[in-house]
Amino acid sequence: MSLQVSNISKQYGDFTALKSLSFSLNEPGVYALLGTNGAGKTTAIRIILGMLSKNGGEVLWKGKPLSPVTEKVGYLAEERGLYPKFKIMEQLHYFAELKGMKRPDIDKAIDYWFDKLELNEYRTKKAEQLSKGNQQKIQLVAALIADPELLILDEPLSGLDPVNANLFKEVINEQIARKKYVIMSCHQMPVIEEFCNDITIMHHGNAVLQGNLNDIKKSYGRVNLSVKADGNILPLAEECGLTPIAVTPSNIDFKIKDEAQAKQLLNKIVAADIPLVRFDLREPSLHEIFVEHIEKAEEAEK
Amino acid sequence: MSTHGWQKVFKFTFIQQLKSKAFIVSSALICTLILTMMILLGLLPTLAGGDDSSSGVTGDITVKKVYVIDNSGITKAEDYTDAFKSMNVEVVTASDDAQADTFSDTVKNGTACLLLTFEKEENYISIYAGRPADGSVSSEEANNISAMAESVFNYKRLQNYGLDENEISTALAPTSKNTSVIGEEVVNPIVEAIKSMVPMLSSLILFILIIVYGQLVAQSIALEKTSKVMELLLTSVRPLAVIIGKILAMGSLSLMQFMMFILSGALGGAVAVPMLMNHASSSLTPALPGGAIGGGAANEAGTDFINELMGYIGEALSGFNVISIIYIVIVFLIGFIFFALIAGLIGASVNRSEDLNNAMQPFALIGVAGFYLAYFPSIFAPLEEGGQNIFMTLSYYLPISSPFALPSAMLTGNMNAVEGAISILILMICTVLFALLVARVYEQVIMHTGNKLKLTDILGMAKNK
Repeated sequence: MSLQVSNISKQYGDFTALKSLSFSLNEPGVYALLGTNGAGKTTAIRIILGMLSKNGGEVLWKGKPLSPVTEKVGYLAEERGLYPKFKIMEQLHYFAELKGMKRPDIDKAIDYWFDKLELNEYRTKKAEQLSKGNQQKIQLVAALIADPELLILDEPLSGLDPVNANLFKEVINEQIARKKYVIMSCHQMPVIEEFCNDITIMHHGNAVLQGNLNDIKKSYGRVNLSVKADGNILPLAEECGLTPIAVTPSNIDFKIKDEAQAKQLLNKIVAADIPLVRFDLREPSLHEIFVEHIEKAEEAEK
Repeated sequence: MSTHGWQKVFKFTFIQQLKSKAFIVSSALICTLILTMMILLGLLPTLAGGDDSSSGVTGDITVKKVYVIDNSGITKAEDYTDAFKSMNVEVVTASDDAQADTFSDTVKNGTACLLLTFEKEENYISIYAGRPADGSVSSEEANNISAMAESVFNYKRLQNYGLDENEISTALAPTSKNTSVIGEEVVNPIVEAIKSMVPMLSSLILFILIIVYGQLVAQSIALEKTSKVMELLLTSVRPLAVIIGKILAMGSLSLMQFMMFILSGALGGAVAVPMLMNHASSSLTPALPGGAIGGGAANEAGTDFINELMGYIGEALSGFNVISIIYIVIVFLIGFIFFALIAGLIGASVNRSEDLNNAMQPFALIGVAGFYLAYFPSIFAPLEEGGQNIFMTLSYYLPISSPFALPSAMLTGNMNAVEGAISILILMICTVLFALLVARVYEQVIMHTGNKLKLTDILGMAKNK
């Protein structure tokens, strides 16, 4: 077990920012911390990184308390920050030296990441002369420069254009391929589905859902039915006990109890000789699971 | 509370600050200002010399001939020949009264010459120096030459009474007048003036350096916090290492800038002192002509003046020695750390850079209070019995004022080595205690966002940790 987060909590007076959060990264891969704004994701990350004191719990890395000062940990913070007036190369050298790197290794790492992230033309610039997206790339270099084993990415893709977002995704894939441990907080659910094995969904400091993403989806079963046909299928759906949850010009979506209900509807459409364009039975998306659990949590709080 | 990595923070902060326009411009500007002021000080007597400045008052002798008519009955015109010979000035004496009568017109219509007349009046001897009408000889130069002639006259007069050279030197030695209550030390007004100036200047320079660089520490930390760079730094070093590295870097820079100011002053002094000497040599009366009559006497007079002035400065700064300099450097560094810790904590407590100025007000108030406590009692202390008062003593030992008060107290001899050591010890203990408090709360303060932190909140953090 490489990263073990056990019952960490944070209290500000009467306000509970984080309540007994536990999760672990047993093998390399990407772990997702999801949640609404103010759910406690950044607080959890800061506690893991030792920036913030905790009221309880522990964070272990390979069985010992995690200390970013002695372990190589890369961190891309949600709120980006560089020294605006200083040259980016000087800043990167500074951040790398703080991680204990020597100049030749630093230069080598900078060359590699600048090529990869297409930053070579900005080598002599000051941070304030760079666009927001390029500043974000420089910060990603700062997080990766020491080749950390544990990488924490807080909203890595926010504010990026599609081309740069793809560059970031390539970097994440490369880290996965190199067997790195990654914790990622992100509001873009498709990105999480693309990279993450395990997730925690948080709400108001509590973990409302945790586990392996595939297992969670499997536990729901294939309950989302999306149908497109050249004819009115709504009376047939009603006969099968189905009420549409969304009707759009291209689709009619249903939530089904089990796959037998879907099979019954399919048989009726075929029997009625209505031309069928699409009949899609699938597991719920992460977005749907997220919304469902947040709504449940809010209901429970009322 | 790991301080691992503070050296790297120190190096980066030091280099970036050293390269900053603000540091380069302020250093260049202040050093130039000091240098210019010192040179102007050297030029001041010359500039104040009036309309004769155009005709050779800088010590160069323009007079080539001196016509001497000696009716004093004490010396003879020939007595002055040797005195002026080494200055390449020819002395012309009259062989009879008829020739003497022509001297007046010769000089009036001549150039680069002077008429010296010695007349015995009823109760005194008059010495008259007549200049040519063409303005080639300034009144100041004429005065100088007549003063030299007077010295020769006095020397010869005493020689005529049978005194040898030593007796003449003793007889012509300058006198010094002082008054005081019997049993109390004699107060020299020049020495007292210097003693008043030193606390003012040293307190002011130290105050400016400590406050300005303290502000820079706060600004730098606030910038890192508000720009979120701090979060990146904290993945490699603890907050305490950041503040230690920054404080020591800023302290070193301020000390370096202080040394640059001192060097500028010394360089300016090296230029100004010869100027003053030069002026003094052309305007002061030679003290004792004797064997030095003629060339070199004027320069010796200038040297005497500077020596006298240096003597006063030496007397005023009686505590100036290696130990006091070591004490001053130590107290400056610890004092800087003490104030910078306050500034750093304030810088860490703000969430928006625009709030920093308001937040820094307590820091400025503490600094100003310390400065006034160090400055005013030392100025008024001479008025009190024994040269000290309770506020002055207090300022030596209070941590907020001792960094400003100790340097001048050591230099002027108002504080001895033991008292200085006690003052430094108190400051050191307070700084260590304050550093422990800062270390206790700094990690929480630096990561605090939201409501503005008050002193009670910070104390609460220290208590609850």
